Amino acid sequence: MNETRYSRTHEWVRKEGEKILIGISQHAQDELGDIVYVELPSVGACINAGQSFGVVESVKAASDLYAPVSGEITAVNDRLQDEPGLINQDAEGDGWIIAVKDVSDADWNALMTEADYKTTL
Amino acid sequence: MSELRKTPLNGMHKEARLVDYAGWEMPVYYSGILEEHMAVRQMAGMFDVSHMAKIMVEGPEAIDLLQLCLTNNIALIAPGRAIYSLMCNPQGGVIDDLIVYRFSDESYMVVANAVNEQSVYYWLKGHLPDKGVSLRNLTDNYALIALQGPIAAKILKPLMSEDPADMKYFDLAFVNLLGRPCVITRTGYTGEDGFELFLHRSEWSIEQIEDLWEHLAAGGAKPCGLGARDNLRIEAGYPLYGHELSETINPLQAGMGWAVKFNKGDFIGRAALECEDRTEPVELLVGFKMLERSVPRQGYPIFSGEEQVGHVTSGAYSPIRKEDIGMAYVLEPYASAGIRLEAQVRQRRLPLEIMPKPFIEIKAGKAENALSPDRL
Repeated sequence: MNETRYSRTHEWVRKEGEKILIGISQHAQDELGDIVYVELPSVGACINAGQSFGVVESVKAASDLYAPVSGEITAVNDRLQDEPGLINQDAEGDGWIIAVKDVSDADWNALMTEADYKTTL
Repeated sequence: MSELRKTPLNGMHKEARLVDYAGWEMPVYYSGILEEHMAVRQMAGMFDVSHMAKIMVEGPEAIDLLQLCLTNNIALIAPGRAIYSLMCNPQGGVIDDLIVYRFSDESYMVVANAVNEQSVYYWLKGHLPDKGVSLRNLTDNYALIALQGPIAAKILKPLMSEDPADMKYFDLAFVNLLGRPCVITRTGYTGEDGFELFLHRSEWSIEQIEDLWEHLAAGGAKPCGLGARDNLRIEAGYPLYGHELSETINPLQAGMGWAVKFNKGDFIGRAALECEDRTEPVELLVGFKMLERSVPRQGYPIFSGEEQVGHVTSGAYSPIRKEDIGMAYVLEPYASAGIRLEAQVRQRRLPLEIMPKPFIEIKAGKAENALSPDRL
C-alpha cells in the first residue's frame, strides 16, 4: 500500500517501496492552470522542509514549490522538461517532480493524510 | 468591497474560472488557456468582452472633441470605418489606447479598456464644449462578443443578412444577426482575422444574447477567456495599458508613433511629443525571446552586464513558436534585434535576445489569408 500524504502548501509525498516521490496535488495543478515550465533542482541537492526547491510556471504566474519534507534528491522527473503539461494531466502520478531519500518519520508524520487534506480544500 | 459587475453573458461562464478584472466578474479560462489560444489561431474562438468601455460621442462638434483628445486623425475615417488612437495627457503620457468607430456622420463610439472606463469618460467630459456634443457612457447598454480566428467569417455567414467576408479590416456595418439588429466590426485583439459584435440591450434580451453565443459555439467557436486573450495579444505584439502603455510612457517610446498625427492640428499632448527631450536616455519598447526556459513576467529587470538597461512589461509562453517571449522597455542603444541581454528571473540571470514584433504572422487585415467561406 503506497500511502500519499499532503502538505499545507499543496505538495504530495508518496512512499513507493524505497522511493519517496514528491509532486503537487491535483487541486494545486487545477488552481495553477496550464503549466508551461518547471524549474527543477539537481540530483544530489538537499531539500529542507518548508523551503522552496523549485518553481512551476503556469501561463499566468510563477509559483514556488515548497519541500514538504527534508531529504536528499535522488531523481528528478526529466520528462517535465519537454512535457510540463504532465503535471496537469496526472499531477499525482506521471507528473511527479522529484524523488528523495532520508526522510524522517517526524517529517512524514507531520504531513496530512489524504482525508485530512481534502477537508482543507 | 462592492459587488462585481456582471456582463449579459455571465450565465454562459458557469464552467469558467472567474476573476475580478477591472471590477468585472470575467472568465480567465474555460477549458485551458493554451487550448483556447490554439483554437483562435487554427479555427475560431469567442470572447465575452462586454466589459470594454463604450462611450458614445455625438453631435456637430463631436469630431472636434475627438480631434482634441486623441492623437490620431479621426477626420480620416468615413462613416462605417474605425481607427486606432491613443489618448494622451498634456505631458504626452498615454491615458489609454482605444478604437473609434464612426457610426454615422456625427456619431462616434469610443471603445476603450475596461480599466480606463472612468478615466477616458471623464477626460472627454472634462473637455466637452458648452454645446454641440452629447457624451454618453453606454458600457452597460451593449453586450460585446469578439469572434476571432480563420473560420470566423464562415461561422457568421449563415447567421447574418450580409456576407461578412465583404467587410474590410476596420469596417463596421449595421446588419441583421439572427434577425436582430447588430453592429458588426472587422476588428480584434488577437492578430487573427475576426469580428466584434455589438448587441444593444434594448434589442437583445439576455436569452437572445445567450442564444447567439450558443449559435457561434455550434458553428465551431470555442469559448475563450481573458487568459488566452492576453497570450494572443502578446504573440501579436499588441500593447496593453498597464503593461506597455501608461501615463508616464509616450506613444513614440511604445512604437505607436504611427497613431500620432502631427499634421492634423492641435491635440492634447502634442507640444510635449513634438519637443520630446532627446538628451535624456530613452527607453523603447522591444520584443524579445528567452534563450533559456522561463516565462518572463512584468517587472523583471533586464541587464547588460551589471547595468540595468530595462524591464519586462509582458511575457508569455508562445504555443505557436514553442518558446518564451515578451515585451520590454530597454534603453535605446540596446533596442535592436539580435542584441543579447539578461533577465533577472528570481535568483538567476537568464539570457534573452531582442527580436522584432510581432512574434507571429498577423492575419488580421489580410483577407486573402482568411479562409473564405467558399474554400471551406
